[in-house]
Amino acid sequence: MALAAETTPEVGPTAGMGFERLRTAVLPVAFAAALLALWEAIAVLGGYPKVILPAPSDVLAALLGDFGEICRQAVPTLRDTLTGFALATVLGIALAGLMTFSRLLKQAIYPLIIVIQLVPKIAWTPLFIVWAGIGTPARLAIATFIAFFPIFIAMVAGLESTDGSLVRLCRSLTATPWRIFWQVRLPASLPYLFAGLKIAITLAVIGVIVAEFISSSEGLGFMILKSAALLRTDLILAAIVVLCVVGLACYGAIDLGERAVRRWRGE
Amino acid sequence: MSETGLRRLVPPLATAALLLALWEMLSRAGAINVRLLPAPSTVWVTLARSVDVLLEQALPTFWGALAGMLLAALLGIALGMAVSLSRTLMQAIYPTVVFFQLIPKVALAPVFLIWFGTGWTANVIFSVFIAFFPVLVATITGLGAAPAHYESLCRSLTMSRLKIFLKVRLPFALPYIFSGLRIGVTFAVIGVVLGEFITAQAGLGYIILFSANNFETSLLLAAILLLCGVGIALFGFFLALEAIVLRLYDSR
Repeated sequence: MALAAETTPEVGPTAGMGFERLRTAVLPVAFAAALLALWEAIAVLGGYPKVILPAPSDVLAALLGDFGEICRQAVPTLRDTLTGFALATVLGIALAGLMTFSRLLKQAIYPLIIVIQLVPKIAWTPLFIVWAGIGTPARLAIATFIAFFPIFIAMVAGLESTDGSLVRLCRSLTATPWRIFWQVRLPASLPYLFAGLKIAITLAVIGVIVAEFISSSEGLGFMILKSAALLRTDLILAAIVVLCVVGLACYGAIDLGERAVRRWRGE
Repeated sequence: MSETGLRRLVPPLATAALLLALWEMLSRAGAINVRLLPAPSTVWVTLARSVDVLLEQALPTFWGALAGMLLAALLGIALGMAVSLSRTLMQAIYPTVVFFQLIPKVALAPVFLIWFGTGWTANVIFSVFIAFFPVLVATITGLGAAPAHYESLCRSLTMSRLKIFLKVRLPFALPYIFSGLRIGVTFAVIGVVLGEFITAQAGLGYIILFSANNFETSLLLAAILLLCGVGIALFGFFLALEAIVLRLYDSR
């Protein structure tokens, strides 16, 4: 199989490419469809109660039946995720930028942040709730806290990846440190930054959901836990479907931003 | 210790000591509400006083995360290898795997609660589920990382597929696999703690939530401190494993 695929382009490039593209598009869809069909078959033929294993069709029915409610609950989740993510982005870039101006500052703070990064940050959620109450501020703080680390670490790595001779050249041409940061270091670090942002957005969603699990009266996390208490597994999965769509949309937006930046840089 | 090592170690430790001292002074001076943020000394006293209970609760968390991670590693690496054997299989499965990697899987915790009930085993299963995907993705990526011409060369020298796999693709994949394991470890801890949050039977997650509900902030901080210890111990375990395996591969 592998041999055939490698020889095809040499024989007929256009035909080979078309076939290849079709394969990469059709195979995953077919696999996902097969998984869903298997799930449906097991749920229906196995005769499991809907509480244990709702069929995909049941989930779809719950999704359509309660679509308004699910979307209403998705609003606070999305709002807190995006706000926390934005705060983390600003903080992460600012703090990482600060480190380029002072070597001592970097030596003093960076290792500490790396150690904190190893710690399971989700476990801090109850502490934030003690500090900030059970409302939006606590959820924002958690999302910011969790999303900050990957952005900061990626940004530090990115700023360090700057070509040293370029910085020296600018310095000898009497560019101010600020201008070097803005025009040389920042553009050089953008690929790293986007890698960090992609990790951060998925973590921000997780942070908000966990916070909503622990104490909340709104949001998709709350709805999921409430549906679990009511043994509405189909509704849990329907809420998760919407959550996945929201999460993937955020991720997709960052991916689009990355592509736009790449194009702007002429890559 | 060498001088550069010392120089690398002193500034962060000094900063940490400075921050702790500042925190202690502020809370002694009454500038911080000690109910919200008790002084480091208070946390330390609480930790010393409740260390028996805390260690007892740390055990299920530690073993749960370790068991979850080891199972996730076995499953992820094995499945990653199986998928990488066939290009068709890989093209079919990989996008679905990436999809699962991107979605917030913690949201499924209540479903696992319904399926597997409460308790240690359920927490381990959930932690396997969360930690599994980074390992799988890393294994698949790693096994595709060997330069194509290495493989062509070996094939033209009539090396068997198994031998190519063991001698070419696996060595290239190892760094990827270990970086996947490192991500997976933190997820495994999160999985167990989240399970303890939701089912609240035992473990450090249970203690953390319990003390938060009772406003016992010093116990909460002591439990978080111990959980950090658990997380770092597990991380260290896999770093050591990485060092050993990579050295074994290098020496051959």
